[in-house]
Amino acid sequence: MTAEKQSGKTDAVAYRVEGVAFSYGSRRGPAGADADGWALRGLTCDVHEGEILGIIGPNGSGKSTLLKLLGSIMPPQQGTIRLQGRPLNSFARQELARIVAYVPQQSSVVFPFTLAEFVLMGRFPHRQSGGALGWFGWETAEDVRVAGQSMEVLDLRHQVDICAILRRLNREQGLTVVLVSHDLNLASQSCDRLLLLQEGALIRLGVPSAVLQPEVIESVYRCPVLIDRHPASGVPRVTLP
Amino acid sequence: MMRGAVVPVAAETGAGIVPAVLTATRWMTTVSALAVASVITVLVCLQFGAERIGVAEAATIVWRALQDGRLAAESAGSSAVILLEVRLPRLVLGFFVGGCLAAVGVTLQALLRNPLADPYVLGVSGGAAVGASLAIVTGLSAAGAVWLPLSAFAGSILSLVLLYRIAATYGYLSVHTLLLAGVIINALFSALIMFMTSLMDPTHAFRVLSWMLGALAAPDDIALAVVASFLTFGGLLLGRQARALNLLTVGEDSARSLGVDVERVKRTLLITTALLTGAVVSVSGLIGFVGMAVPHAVRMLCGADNRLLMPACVFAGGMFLVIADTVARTALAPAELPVGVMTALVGAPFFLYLLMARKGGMAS
Repeated sequence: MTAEKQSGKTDAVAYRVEGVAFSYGSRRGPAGADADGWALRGLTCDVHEGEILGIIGPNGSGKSTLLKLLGSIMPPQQGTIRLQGRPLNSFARQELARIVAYVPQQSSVVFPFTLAEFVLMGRFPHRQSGGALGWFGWETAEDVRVAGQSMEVLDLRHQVDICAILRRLNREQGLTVVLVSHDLNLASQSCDRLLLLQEGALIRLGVPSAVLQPEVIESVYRCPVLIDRHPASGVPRVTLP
Repeated sequence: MMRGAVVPVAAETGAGIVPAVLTATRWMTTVSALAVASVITVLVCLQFGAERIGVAEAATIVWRALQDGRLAAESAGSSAVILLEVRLPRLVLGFFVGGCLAAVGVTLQALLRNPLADPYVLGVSGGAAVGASLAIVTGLSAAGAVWLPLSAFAGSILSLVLLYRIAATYGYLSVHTLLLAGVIINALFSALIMFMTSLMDPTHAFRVLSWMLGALAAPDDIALAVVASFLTFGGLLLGRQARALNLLTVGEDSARSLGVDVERVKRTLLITTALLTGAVVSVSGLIGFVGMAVPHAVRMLCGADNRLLMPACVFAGGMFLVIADTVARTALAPAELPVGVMTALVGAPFFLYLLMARKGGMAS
């Protein structure tokens, strides 16, 4: 499937990220010439149409920040992000919401909304009440979906379920998925390509077997690892020695 | 966590469980039931007071006033005058004030994703009270009837701007910083009011004290019209944002990604709530508990969807304050309790009961 996707769809670009830098410090960037204030420093990469891209990297490497920039939750201080050829900031909120869905790491559910009410909130950008209701908030966005990293808090079965749903949506509806994961094996198994970040900079971007190399992972995560093949799927499998 | 729960339940729902969502029918039924209940509550409360007037007689007088005008109805006798000049305006004012407070409370709770939020916690009422106290101290309030409410608006707007300046960083309003800033601003305003009270001569100090306790009095027609127009206008503004408010309760990032212009919606909601609070404080002082408890109670009964919760809270808050004020007027008659004391005394056990009933219901 990976190979098929690689050959079939690599031409179309969903996102083009060029020289993007972001700092949580201020609107213009970190104070003075302090280079340590950048959460992302001059990142350039593409997200292909119809792929599942996994963002991986150690804590504080800028995974969530990149996801938020792609979801247009915050604007970058430097560089541009284009979605389907158009700068991200040229989209109106509602227009963007019909194309991109962002699922944050955590959602607060303070008040007793029913599950169905919660799900129907996903219809907000479409401004149609009732009708064909998508059971998932997810089916709101037709094209691109930017998923958060909530999967770590789920047990095994729910992780498998979520991944199966993402794959199904990806295969059947051509949904582009960008997800953040700390679980390298889950990323390896479910993603077409991986993007490895370290301290806000891109280290590797490519198919799992190209990114999950022992020397790369050891230097980025600063920890010795064993990498072999998954017995069933043949994708790289990362274990601790 | 919530996302995790989506998968299996969605699968089960496919097997025939009816989804619990807000329908137009449920909205209409609930709102009209509450509207009828509100009218009945006001009519029942009309009979209580220094002089008891029966429900039937009260209804007849109100009916006559509606048909022939107030002056014609008042010619019928002293009880008609008491009813139409004193009791009914005060009850209607109480209803509006309670409705405003509950609407403000439900908005702020949803906006801040915090069940403890209300205009008092955020210091918006405190700001209005400082404005009003200043008007009393400087003698401005004696210069004309408009100055007291104007100063209260100014105070609540000022506290809101302060809140914004403290809590907003980088164009975003952090929920936690905002709440904390509100608590601090509130403390500052309380200190200011106490400082002014200690400088005042006793008659002014007494006025400010009754202000701080929250009290209703029979208003003139102008005050009533002002509060009514604020409730209508502000209520419509808040109601228009109810859907966006639903999304905001889940999280600002989620709301933003679903196409809500989060900053604009927040600004609209905060300014509207400040104006409503200013209007309410200028006519009734600091009445607590309504804005915090009523939304909670209503949420337990009608669910969390703000499209229904908002109008339901207006009615429920109105009824709650009307009943509380009636008890405040009659419990120690001929003396009167401040209604602010009553709302806390009546509201707290009621709230506790709902909380425990719900806990029991969930356990079974």
